Amino acid sequence: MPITSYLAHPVEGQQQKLLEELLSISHCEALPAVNTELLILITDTRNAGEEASLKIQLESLENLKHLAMVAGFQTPINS
Amino acid sequence: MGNLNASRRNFVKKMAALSAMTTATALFPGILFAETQRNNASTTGTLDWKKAPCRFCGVGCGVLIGIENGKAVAVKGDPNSPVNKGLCCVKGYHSIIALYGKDRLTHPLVKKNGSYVQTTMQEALDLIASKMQKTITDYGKDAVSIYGSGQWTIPDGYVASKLFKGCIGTNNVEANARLCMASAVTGFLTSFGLDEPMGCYEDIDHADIFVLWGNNMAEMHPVLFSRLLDQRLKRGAKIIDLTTRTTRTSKAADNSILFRPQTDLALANAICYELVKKGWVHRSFVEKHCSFRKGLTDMGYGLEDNYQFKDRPKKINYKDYQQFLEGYAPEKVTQLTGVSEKDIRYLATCYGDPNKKVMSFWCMGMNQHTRGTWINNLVYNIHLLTGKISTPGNSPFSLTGQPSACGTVREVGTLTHKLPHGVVMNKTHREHAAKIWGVPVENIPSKPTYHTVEMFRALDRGDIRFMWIQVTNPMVTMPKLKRYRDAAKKEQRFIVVSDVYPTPTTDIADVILPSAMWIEREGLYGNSERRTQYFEQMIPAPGEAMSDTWQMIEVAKRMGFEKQFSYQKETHIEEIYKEYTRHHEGKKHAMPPLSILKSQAGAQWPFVNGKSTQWRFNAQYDSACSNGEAFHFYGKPDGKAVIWQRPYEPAPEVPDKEFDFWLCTGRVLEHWHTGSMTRRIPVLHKAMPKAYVEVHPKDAKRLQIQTGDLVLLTSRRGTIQLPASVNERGIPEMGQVFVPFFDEDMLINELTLDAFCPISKQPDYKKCAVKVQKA
Ligand code: SF4
Repeated sequence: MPITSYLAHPVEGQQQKLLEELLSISHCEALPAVNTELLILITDTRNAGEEASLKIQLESLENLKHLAMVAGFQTPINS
Repeated sequence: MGNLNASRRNFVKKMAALSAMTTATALFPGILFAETQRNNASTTGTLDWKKAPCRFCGVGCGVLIGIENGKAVAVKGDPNSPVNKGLCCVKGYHSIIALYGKDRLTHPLVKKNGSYVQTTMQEALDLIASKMQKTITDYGKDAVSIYGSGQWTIPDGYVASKLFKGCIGTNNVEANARLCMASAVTGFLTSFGLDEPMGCYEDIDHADIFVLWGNNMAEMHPVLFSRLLDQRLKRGAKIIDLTTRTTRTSKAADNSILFRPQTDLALANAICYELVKKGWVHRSFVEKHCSFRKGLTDMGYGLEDNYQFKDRPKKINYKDYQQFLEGYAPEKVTQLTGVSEKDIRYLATCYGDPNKKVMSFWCMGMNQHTRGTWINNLVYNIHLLTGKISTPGNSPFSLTGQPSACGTVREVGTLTHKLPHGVVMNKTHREHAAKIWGVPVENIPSKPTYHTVEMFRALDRGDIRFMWIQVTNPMVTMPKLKRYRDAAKKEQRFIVVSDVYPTPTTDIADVILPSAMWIEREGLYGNSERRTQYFEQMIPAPGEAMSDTWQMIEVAKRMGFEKQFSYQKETHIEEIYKEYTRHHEGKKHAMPPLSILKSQAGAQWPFVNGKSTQWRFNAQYDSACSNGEAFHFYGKPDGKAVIWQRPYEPAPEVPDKEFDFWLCTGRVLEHWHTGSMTRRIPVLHKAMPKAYVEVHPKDAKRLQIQTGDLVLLTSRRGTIQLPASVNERGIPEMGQVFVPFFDEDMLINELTLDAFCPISKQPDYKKCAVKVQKA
């Protein structure tokens, strides 16, 4: 059950558009920086297959210039 | 339960967001997120986060591993690491899953009557020691060998060298870094007299132009490439991609320039021609700090067994060199290289502009080359002629592929000619090593034996009878594979393989030892920028799996070397590292103490007066400089770096009527080398399940091939069948094909040629001739 966070660099001037695009994709949450053209993207998928197809979908976004991965969490944390 | 899980997922998401914010803050000082976002993300976790260098590539990112109940459950980039500043790539962040594959090797297996039988570790180690002893008695010391890798930790490589060179008394020690880094080493040694880059990753933050020489950084060094892109965003730095094939890097670069295979030699000389012609040579730097040499030419390609070559460098002067360059005027080389005169002049302008700082990067494209040492020399020539070296942002930078190719293979010296400090041919170096190892100096032979290709040829001939292979998979990676696989299967050969998963190499083993992987043991790696990094044991190893270090110590003791291997189980890594650092004492290579490495994300040698050295040979930063000048290339007796006259020479096998395509092989982002670990990570395996052959769209049309169609590739050494990839991730030029080597079900090295650079003895996996047919 992968949860992953990324830094998402929008195409110049397209931060808002990219934010909207990301928010419209299921399994994605996005937080924009307020003074820099950068977003934080959190993806939450059920399995590896879903994560792989989400990655393909993200790569096709026109307003996304570059995606840099930061952290990945593989299993739910036990109590 | 459902609610509990949902709240846990929210909690984990908050942690993921917090990690990303921390990284963003490190990369973009002053960056702000809305207050509510930060409050939502802030959390105190229950995970125990421990630092380590990443298991996979030579970038050497610092990662933090979340441990819970004895299991590694999370990975994040370490924001305190100056290497990656919190970033992490797809391999790094999935790395922990590779620890938990279903078919981990957990118990030793011994081949009996053709099938493997489980045994105890004690019995397996007894058997290995007795077989090694018997082989030495029957065939002599040089009949036993060890073949390791750039994924060996520093202590692994150190005990291997001490056992084989110091105690047994054979120089039959090699590592797979011969297949990826040897030309970089000989390039450094011939140009500067000392191995490893003079600069560091911080150069990226200062350079105005990045020139990538045959280096698909976007896939092979993704975190560093992110740092390059970051500098482009922040400061408008330019990325120039010099390549034989259009890759992800080409697509992201400002300028991608295609050249024909092997002609980088001519291209580099043409750039130097232009620098001289346009008056962009930094005359005072060259006069003070450089000398000129030429070596032998037309020296063959090592295709024959027992091939020998020794260069005979001759002094030349600037005028001779200038005259030599006359043959490389842009109008003369444009036809050969396929690079337009305009682009050659553009490249020369980039290097020549005194107001621009330039970094050159390269990796396998230049190193896996039958003239690998030469092309390394030629790129150094460009930086030396312009004086763009050893200062922040001016940096010729040879990247490494494996996490400890530098730290272990190059610094510990696990190659036939090397010692931890210096080379076996040098009496003083042998005496130095023998004293620290506590062995008679006569034990260490003064002659190197076999480099990797020749070592496997010796196994075939029967000169070597016992081989211990650790942390590497030569039955996938050796060029002209069939010969060496058949060799390993011959009668009267005894092969031991230490690994974490079954591979085509464990298939040829007589004994398989289960190894503890990465954070299941304690260790150290050294990355591309001379940074040594420590990791503690964080989780238990499965079953009887044991670190490669301790496996060798156990065998050494059984062979009667208790005195030299009297390390204590609890403290052996600390003891070994302490002993190892004695080899490197002095201002030129002093290693950081373990206490420092435990407390921070690594440190760079030479570590002097409590500080890392970021730029070697520059008196402002490097305390080993002693000539009273701004620069001191102290690796050479005259204190000067060498500008080499090295011509263009063709590849040994070029396309002809029958085999009419060039074949280039390489890696992909998702897989670590032969895929033995990353193919067990479901998301990576799904993203890149099998190998393929990239064909240019026009060639594909002519041959009526579409993506997914099966294609037969044939070279003079074999045939394999693969699905085609047309216009997908990479696009080779017409008349060329590309195949990645990670897939053990489609062994591309059945086709490659075992030709190598005569100086470095590193094979060329980038060029041979093949025939392409629709299956
Ligand atoms: S770039 Fe290399 S070292 Fe960094 S996370 Fe990726 S595989 Fe690991």
